[in-house]
Amino acid sequence: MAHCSNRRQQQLHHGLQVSSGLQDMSLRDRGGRRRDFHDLGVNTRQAMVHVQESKTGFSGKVIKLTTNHFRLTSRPQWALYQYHVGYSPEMEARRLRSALLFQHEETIGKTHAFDGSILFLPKKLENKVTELFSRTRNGEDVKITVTLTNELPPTSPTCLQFYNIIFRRLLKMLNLQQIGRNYYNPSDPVSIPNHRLMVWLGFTSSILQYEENIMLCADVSHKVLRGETVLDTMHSLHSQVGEERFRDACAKELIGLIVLTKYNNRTYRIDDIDWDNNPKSTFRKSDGSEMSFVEYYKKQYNIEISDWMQPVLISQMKRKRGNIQGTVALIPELCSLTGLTDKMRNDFNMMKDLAIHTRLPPEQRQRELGRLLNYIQKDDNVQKELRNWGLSFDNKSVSFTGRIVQGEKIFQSGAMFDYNPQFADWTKETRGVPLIRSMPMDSWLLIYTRRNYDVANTLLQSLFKVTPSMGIHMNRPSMIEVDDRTEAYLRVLQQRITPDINIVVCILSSSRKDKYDAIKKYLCTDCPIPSQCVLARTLSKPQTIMTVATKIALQMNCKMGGELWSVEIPLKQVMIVGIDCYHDTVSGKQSIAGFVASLNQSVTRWFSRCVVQSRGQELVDGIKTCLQSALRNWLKWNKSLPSRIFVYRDGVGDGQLNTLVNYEVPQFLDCLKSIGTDYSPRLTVIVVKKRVGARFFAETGGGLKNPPPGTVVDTVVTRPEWYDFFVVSQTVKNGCVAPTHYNVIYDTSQLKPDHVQRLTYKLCHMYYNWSGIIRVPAPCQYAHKLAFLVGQSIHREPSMTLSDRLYYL
Amino acid sequence: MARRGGHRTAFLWFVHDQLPGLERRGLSVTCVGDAVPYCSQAWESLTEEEKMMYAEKARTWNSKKRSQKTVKETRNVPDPVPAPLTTKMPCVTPLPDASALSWKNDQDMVADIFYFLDIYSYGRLPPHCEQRFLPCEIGCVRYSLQHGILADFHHFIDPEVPPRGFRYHCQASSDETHKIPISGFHHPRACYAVVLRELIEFAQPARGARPRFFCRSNDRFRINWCLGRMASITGIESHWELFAVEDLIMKLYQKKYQKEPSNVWVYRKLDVCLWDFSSNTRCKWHEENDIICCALASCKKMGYCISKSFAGVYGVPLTAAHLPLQDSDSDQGTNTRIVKLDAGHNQKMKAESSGCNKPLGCPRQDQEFVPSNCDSPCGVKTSPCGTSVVQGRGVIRLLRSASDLSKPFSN
Repeated sequence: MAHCSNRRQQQLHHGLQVSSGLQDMSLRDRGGRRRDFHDLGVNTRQAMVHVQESKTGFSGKVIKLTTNHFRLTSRPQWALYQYHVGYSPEMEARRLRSALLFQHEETIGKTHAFDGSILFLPKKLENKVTELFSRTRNGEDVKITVTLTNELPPTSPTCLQFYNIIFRRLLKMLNLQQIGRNYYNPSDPVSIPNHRLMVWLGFTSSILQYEENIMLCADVSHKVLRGETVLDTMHSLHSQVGEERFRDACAKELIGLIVLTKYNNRTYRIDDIDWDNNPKSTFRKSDGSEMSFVEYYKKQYNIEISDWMQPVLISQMKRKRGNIQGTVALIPELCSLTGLTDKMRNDFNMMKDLAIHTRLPPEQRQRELGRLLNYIQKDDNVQKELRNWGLSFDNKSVSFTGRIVQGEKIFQSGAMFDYNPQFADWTKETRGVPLIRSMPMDSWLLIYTRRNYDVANTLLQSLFKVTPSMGIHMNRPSMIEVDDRTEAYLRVLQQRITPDINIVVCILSSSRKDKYDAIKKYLCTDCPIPSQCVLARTLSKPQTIMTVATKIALQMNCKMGGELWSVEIPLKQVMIVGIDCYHDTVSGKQSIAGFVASLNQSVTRWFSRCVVQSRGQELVDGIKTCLQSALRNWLKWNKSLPSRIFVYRDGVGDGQLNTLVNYEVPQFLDCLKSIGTDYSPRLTVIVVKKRVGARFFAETGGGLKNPPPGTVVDTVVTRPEWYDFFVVSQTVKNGCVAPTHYNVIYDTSQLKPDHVQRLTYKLCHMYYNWSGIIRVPAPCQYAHKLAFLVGQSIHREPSMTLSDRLYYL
Repeated sequence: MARRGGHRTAFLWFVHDQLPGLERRGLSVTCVGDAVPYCSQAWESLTEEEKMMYAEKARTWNSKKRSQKTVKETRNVPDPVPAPLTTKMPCVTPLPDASALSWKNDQDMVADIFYFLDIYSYGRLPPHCEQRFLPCEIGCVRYSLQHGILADFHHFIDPEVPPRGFRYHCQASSDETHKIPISGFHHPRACYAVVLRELIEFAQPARGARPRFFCRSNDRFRINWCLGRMASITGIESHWELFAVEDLIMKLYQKKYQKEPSNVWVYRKLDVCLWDFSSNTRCKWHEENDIICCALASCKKMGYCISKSFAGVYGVPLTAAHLPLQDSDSDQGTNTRIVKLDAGHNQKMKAESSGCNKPLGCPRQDQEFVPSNCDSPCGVKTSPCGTSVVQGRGVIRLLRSASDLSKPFSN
């Protein structure tokens, strides 16, 4: 309590510090956490002089694009007025504070936003300080002082938060229901009866200041609900397993599932089942009175509970402010199952049927968004609210132009290929061409179980067929048959591995993770040697075996230190670094950072290390060490240090940009300084973000299509305070392609934006586990793979002897 | 959100202690509030013990504050509000310091008997629960460097019922580790009284002193808590000392090398993944189900580690009791066969004399050559299945040094 008034006083002193109050408001709106999701107020562009004027590129063919951004317009000379509201005597309850204030609607007006201490109005009150007098129900007289603290222009950060809150308010007025961070429309569900599924259509939205305008970025989102309730599942379990094992079966099947209660549209996790209680049991309400569940649901939601014998589900409340924890009791009959089980995910037909509704092609996606905007335009209440605030939305999304940069040429052992930009894939083109650097498989192990004897043979034959044309020299392996037990595999590895062995191939009969983990752990730490695990199932189809064998051969070649292809990199002496993070949930919440740095001019060899965050240490400290050893290795390979370093940093969460700019980048610079006093390479740090709300659509022949790979967008939907751009680098078969967002947060390269964009796109061609263009620059994907392997299977830093190979592919 | 002089949490104390270090790193952190973002990750990675230390600090501070306040404001209230952390901590024994470990000479040390202990629980429940852990499996081994593992002790423990609302938590953490089901487990489980009595009997030191247990330092809090819990529930009077095995390893190292090993070195020594799957290491159930996490295995591995690292320097000959059985010529039913395939008909056969430098001294003459036949290019003969253990054939690695072998294939 003391804390509360304290905060208010602070705000009184610094009138500008509204944002915290407003965040509270959205916090109470439930959903989000107290965090700056959009990294507002991180202005990195101002420090980079060379992009002050313009951050746009120029090369490539112009393409007409539209997007999912809608302009927000306000009246000329629009301003938002911010007031502080004080009470004397002090009133604590927010509801009471609001009620007391809004007794004076004639003064304040009908349009307002109030979070308990800060009041926003679209108009200026007559006096700077307005005193109002109200009376509580208990007859207590209260003096309310409303003081003008700020007059906010439309582009101020506070206003942006305010717009978002108002927009959520509009969605609520449209009877959309909030689930998580998004809003869904429960009134018009799509049902898929043959799988007993329901899909709710919903929207994600955010309003931000973009290059020239404040815009709403809206996207379609889907919530998959299952048609059955927990009670239905219990009944079917009961009929399956019988009375005796019923409770155990329920515990096994139901505990841990996420359910949705339709009466309030909230989701809960089932943490326990209380068999001693039933809907007729009573519980104590917050006011101290006892009430039965049956009565409560009747009174509160007008719901009749039909089965009075069902047990009660228990859910732990998530940790809230003040560390109050508690449990919630739920009635199985009223809980719908949500999400998909693993079994459902593996059901191909079902996923296909679902994808029809959830993976919308560009045209349909825009149509659904158009519908949302239409609701907004059509609804009188919403329009009135907007009018009162002096705001309105365009109902047509913004159109602008992007550029399709030139396709890259793929070089492989003297040969040069173009690829079909439509597929962004060169598997066919490079088939049968020798690799840049092929590693011999002179001596290798092939380990399999007796059951997979035939499979092992098939693999071996196919490898013998495909490797010669790649230029891979392969000898017959030592073939070792083992029992299907982890111990047997490990023992064989322990006994048979000698220093001259190039690679170990294990054929696994099931996707049991612990066996894979044990093999990888042993072969990455205790006995460092490249290894390839193959699931027997993958090799079982005769019609795909050659394709699979080709991919495995390529993958093994990379793991042993081979190189496949390259693209032209015009910059000299440049080291490319990729960083990604993995957050390990099992082994005590360790975080792992994968770090990958190029070692040669053609960017085909990589140095890879990872950081397992040790106790009380920041990840970046480890990254520093990695950078140092990467530079040492570079020196060994090139006899000089790189003159340019590009860092592609992935794995940055929403709201972490600030820490990155203020802490991580200085650490990089520090590290470079420590290499030598006369060493100052040009450094560029680029934050890579795959999860962005923006979608682009190419306008072609009256229709909308996915933009082709190589589409670069650096205007209109980028942020004015950043040096950022979007690249669409991959293709998708169905649905909408997602662009990747690149934010250059530090740059002393003096390169033109065009060159940075081109380099970024080139690097998307260099991922050796996929002969095509991928969504992020290859170093990011490598770093991701490495961090994932370590986080999932190895849990400690792999041996350094492997660091010059892509052993984790 | 620094609250001047008000209630302080354990985390705030932690941040407070980190301030000087952060400043040294060149960060502009003037108050606790500035430092919070840099500390949250570090805080997450603290052990329970370390967190407890800060919680204790916070509690003393807060209760002091509160009592000051209560004295000031409400003089008549005799008993101040109870401290928030009043949960009954059955931790009867304080954790001893490593300095208690010492030996007169090497002989003493080598002959000294240690008990390695591990107790698994269904997860770790949050601090506000009275029940922090639910012990479900216990393992203990008697070990001396001289003789290796002398005896072992293992039980599944009859667990207490998870507090209401925590079944999911317990189930999930079990699934991640030892995978012992909470209900529907068809193996006999012993109750606390039996477990504790037998453990005390098992670990009864000769000279009537307290039993000395060793465990991994990260698990110390849990194991100590579980022992305390069992003692307090059953009312069995018992005393014990629980050391960190890392400290023991440090001591052994120091004694021989006169210097301290690095933490990483100790950690590496203890964490050898090969032993995770060694036979005769896990309990029967965990071995049958091929699950790594087993309390018994955890104890045995501590023994293996010490044997492997120190038997040599202390001049103790290694026996089967020191390290897990490794040789394939022992009959453990591991059926490893090495077969030579003749997959590529066009591959030149080179003399297989090219180096069989395997650790196993298998006679090379035993290698079985099965010539390819036209119908099945893979002319390999699987020996009739069954119990026959075809081992010790040696490795056939053919054509290893040839450089011009893989000619393009014609089909």
